[in-house]
Amino acid sequence: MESTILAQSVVNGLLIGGIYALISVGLTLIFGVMRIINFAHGDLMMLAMYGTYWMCTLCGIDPYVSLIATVPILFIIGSLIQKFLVNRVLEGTDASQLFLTLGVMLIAQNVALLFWKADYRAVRTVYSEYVIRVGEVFVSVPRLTSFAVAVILTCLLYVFLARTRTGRAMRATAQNKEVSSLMGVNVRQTYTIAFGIGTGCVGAAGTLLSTFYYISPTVGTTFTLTAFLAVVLGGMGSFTGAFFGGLIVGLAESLGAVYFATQYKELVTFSLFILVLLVRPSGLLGRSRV
Amino acid sequence: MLETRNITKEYGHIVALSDLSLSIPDGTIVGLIGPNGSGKTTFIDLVTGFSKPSQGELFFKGERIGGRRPHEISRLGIARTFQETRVFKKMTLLENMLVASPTLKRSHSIEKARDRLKWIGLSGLEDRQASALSYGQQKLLEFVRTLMSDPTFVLLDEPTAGISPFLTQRMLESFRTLRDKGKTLVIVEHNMDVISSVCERAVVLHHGQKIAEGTPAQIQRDSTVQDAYLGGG
Amino acid sequence: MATIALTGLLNPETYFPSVLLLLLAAVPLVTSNSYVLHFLILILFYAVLSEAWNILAGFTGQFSLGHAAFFGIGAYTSTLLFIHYGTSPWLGMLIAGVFSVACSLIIGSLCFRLRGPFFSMITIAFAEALRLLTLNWAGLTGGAVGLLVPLMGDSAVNFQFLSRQPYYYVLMGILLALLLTTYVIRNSQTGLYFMATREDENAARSLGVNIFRYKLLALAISVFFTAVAGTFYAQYILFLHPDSVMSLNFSIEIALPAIIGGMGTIWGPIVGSVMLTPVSELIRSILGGSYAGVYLIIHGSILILVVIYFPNGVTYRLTKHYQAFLRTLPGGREQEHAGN
Repeated sequence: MESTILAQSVVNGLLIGGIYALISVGLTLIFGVMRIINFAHGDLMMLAMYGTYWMCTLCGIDPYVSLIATVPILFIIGSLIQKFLVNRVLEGTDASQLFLTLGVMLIAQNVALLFWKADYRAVRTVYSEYVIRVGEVFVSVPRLTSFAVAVILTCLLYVFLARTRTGRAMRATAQNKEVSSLMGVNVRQTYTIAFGIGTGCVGAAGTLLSTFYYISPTVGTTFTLTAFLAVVLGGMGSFTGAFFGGLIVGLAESLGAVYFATQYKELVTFSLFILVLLVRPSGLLGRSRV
Repeated sequence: MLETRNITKEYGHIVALSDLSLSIPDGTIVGLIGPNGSGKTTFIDLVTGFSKPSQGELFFKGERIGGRRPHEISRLGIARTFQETRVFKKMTLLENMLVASPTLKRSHSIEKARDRLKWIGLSGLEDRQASALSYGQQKLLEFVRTLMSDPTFVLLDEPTAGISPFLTQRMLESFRTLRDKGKTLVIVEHNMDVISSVCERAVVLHHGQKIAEGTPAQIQRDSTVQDAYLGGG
Repeated sequence: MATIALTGLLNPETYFPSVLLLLLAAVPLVTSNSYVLHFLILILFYAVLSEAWNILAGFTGQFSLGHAAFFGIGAYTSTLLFIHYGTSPWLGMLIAGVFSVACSLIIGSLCFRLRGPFFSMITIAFAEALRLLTLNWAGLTGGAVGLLVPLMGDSAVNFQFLSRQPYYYVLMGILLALLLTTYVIRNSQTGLYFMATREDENAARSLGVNIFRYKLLALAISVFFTAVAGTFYAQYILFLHPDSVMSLNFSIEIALPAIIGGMGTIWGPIVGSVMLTPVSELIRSILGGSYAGVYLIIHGSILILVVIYFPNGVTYRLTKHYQAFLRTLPGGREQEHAGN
């Protein structure tokens, strides 16, 4: 009996962990390349969730199909934010950068609140309630599919960073921007692309999440903090660290919800966050570039 | 005054300092030279509490100081400057100086600060923001600031790097004056001329190890030193 | 600038703000319009909160985004003491202040191990954890239903009044105490240590400054006034809810006036509050209800604009104009000749 609950909890934790991983990878990319901590990360995801919702509700487009739209659109939004806003404060203090992304967060959240009100919404598809049974564990189909897509996208991103010229430029800039620019890398453009990709990740994650998670203007903040936790856990700036960090956080949260009351689930996440920041701020997994 | 016994500092796999033993007597100016990465700044960090030795011990006037925190070390009379020249940019020169003075009557501290600034040649600029100074002037400020607490032992990390010959001379003269008053100075430098002109003794580091010690003249003739600088590196 | 300005009341730099403050204090004598007073109370309220935040963030450079938690602890502490033990809210205010400071010292000693954005992150984490705790501990705090402050009518002893004037004066008193504290700090050795902490921690350490201790000191002073403001809020609004008094949005609102007006200055947060609060109030009253979030869009936009175009806050740019203006006032010209 107990082992079933445990197994179920582990499965659910990993499934959502995959999406956390995608969000975190985006966040760590932005930090790794530009040393910016994007406080608006989760709220940009929230916008993608609404986009998916409206495309589904108004036009009948399936969420997985709408990825074709949400990812590029979020990529563009991210690039624009970087180019016209973040760029202006890159030479400024850490404080300026922090406040800037906070400003973006305030605007994103409240624009959503203004247009779409605070009511919870949910994307309804044919397969929303489908469940498959694996042994004693019930797996929700949307969660499984979203997990799979998230992992695929993360792998594609990994390959992109490792093999393509742009990807290598980004890694080089992350390591040493002066040397990279001396070697012909257009640093400003790299920044823009990195931020764009990071936001694109979050766009994808938002779409994938909306297949089974509720949507509301304030949903973003929790995910931003969850992503922070995953990124710090895995080592700021580390791609694989963020990936595994996301999985671990998903797992920890899920197990926490089982062993403590569900309402304290968020408390578990925060406590874990506080613990990690204090004990091993450089991360348990990858090397940190703090 | 300062004695280190077999101190070693490792950062993961990187060995910054290896089995370094040296002793620095009172009232001298000692130079610490070596190529980049030879462990000079690490040495200063260890003495001033910014780093803990992985092994070995440090003694100041007979007291064990390894692993103590920077502000505690400062209370013992040890002061330092930084390679990157850390002045408080948004504060005035006077405010910079006052931070370093122990809690005395404000008027005394202000007078003392003005005196010191005049001594080093920065008078008239007390109320300007430190960011308005030239690089060389900032280095002078950083140096003279450390003197506000009347330290007996000062470690200087590349104090003349990147400043004009004129300002360099001013600094060197002040070093000599301090030594004549009984203070002890350790100067980390690349510039052999600086070492030759003020230091009585010099220690050469290479890859974290002491490879030579003696007067500047002896050092310059030493073959291991020549190899280190010209050869392997 | 480091010299204490005892150079007399003839100096416009001293008397002009004092005159403004006197005028401000005289307002309730001139009008008893409830709405005008409420409007001014709101401006003063955010000025107090932001000035308090400024002591930590502006002077020592530690950007806490969790100050709402201490505000809430203050508000709930005095209210619960009143409800369960009948403690006068005046005394409760002081106890709330001390208790919040105690909590902050514990939390601070953990948080100050981190720097920069990581410090901000962990303050958010702590504040959210405290908010959730308050929300879920319904037995103590009323949880999601909120906590009503028992109505005592017009009772000075119980820190409740039916008209706005007394509240206005209490708040002004708090603001003045805070301004005085900030002024004393700014001109003291402690203030220099605070600023050195902000400018360069390592350099300050090497000069003998115990950074950790001074960060905690700044936090304690900041939190005391924040908690006191919390009690004021409880006695003014008479209702507490974790989502309004302990939320991240509120923490940001506390910080905004200082950021906009100029952190690390004495008047910055007040100027910031004067700029921001009327905007939110007007929007709230004109649009009301479901459009409540609009003022945050405006605040967010102002924040972005200020960060890009006025990185040191609005007062920094205005200082030159302000100084020029002061020189036109009686007593001003003499200052120029004095060569200060």
